[in-house]
Amino acid sequence: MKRHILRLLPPAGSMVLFLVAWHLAVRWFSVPSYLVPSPGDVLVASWDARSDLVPATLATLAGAATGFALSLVAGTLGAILFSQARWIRDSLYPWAIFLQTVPIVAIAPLIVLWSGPGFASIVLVSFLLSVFPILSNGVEGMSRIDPSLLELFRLCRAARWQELLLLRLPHSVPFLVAGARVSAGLTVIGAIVGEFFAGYGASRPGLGYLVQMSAAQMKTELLFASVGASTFLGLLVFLAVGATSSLLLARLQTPPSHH
Amino acid sequence: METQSQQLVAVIEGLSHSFPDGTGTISKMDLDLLPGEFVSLVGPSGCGKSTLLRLVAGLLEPTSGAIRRDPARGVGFVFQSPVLLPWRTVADNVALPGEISGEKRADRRRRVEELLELVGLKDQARRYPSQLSGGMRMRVSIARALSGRPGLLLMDEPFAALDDLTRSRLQEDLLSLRAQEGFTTLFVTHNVPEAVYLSDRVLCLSSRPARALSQVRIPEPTERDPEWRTDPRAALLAREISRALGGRGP
Repeated sequence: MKRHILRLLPPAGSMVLFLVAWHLAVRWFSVPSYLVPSPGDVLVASWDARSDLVPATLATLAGAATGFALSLVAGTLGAILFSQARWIRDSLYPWAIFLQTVPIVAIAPLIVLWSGPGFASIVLVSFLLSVFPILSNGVEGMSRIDPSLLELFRLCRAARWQELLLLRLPHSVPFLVAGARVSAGLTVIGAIVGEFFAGYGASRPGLGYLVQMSAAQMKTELLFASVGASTFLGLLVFLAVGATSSLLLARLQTPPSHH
Repeated sequence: METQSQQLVAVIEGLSHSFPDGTGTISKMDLDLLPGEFVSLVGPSGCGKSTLLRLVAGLLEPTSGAIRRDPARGVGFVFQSPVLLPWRTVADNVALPGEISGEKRADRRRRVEELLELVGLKDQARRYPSQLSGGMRMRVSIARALSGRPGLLLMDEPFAALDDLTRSRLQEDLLSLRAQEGFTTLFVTHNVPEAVYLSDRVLCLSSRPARALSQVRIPEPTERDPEWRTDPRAALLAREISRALGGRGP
């Protein structure tokens, strides 16, 4: 515990230094607050807007968490499907890679056009941005198996489902977990991007919508506060998924990353 | 003729194999395996010894010729490395073949206990492969290969990666396992003293495509003990095998 606190000291120190420098710079050069508000102003604005910020953060979390859950399920199922027949993988996997290279900002308006503004579109954008790391890692984990292990299963006359359940799936768990860690960061970004385009239709405005509104209305303190909340949310989700995956890997007794 | 071949564990007749690109690995091999016999295949590395084991196991199809095995009893295969499942305990790794074939849970557990006792890993049953030494992992691998009570055990240089002391221990343990379980062994190695220590017969193979160059019988002693390692007769046999392989003796 003491070691953890000691490790947190340097970044916390640099953070404090940065905030002080920011505050002094704004004061000395008398920067207008609609361009750069001082950290104190941001803090006051955050407190004043807490009745907007907290529900917005929760709304974005709901979109991101739903997108993440979808990515986990669809990514794993996709990887299983690709592992079952070479021709399926060969004919579909290139398109999955292609999908990943399409800029999400470019197709988000299309998604809104098709599934309407609101929660569904936000979740879809979040899902599209975060599914690929899980899918690609899952495909790796299902296929990069020691050939001798596959021979062993053939010698035991294992059925296809036995090979999947007893070999491919457990073998791919560490890969899927690594993919989920990357995906966790992307899923929050995806939800916020989704809200930029579809947030006006949601029953509760999320952080992406708040960022857009405060920028349009020149409420720079609120804009800073929303960006701060988004960063905080991203960090929180990343840490939560990181802790869960560490627990899971420790449980599975998989030797530390020899992959 | 028919009755005689039915007593054999495996019959290999005129066996040839080449890969789709045309490279020949095995050329016109004949070999009969008698019940309980220990036969070693010795030859230069990359000569097709492993391919021969995979053909006998049915993992590869011969290009020509035939392999006949006693269908009543299965084969066990021990690979060059232990190839264990890292997420399963020692006991669950040994139980894997039985689990796949749908053996009853109680029978499976009894057999696993019996095998772990035989390979000296009773106290390690609940540990994971990453917590074991290389020699212990290979013991788990051997126990797993024996779990289905195979009539024929195929071993592909199983001790090559182990240090000398561990290797000697495992060789001795393999012989006592064989005495208790009564399986026939086809053993691939490029270690001539190892072949002399373990085998009833040593088949010397040429470089690729593998042909049988000669066969050396090691009829005695019937009970092998560590003294046989330094016996002058063993040294003579090792020299004979090395000569057959084209070397100048050890």
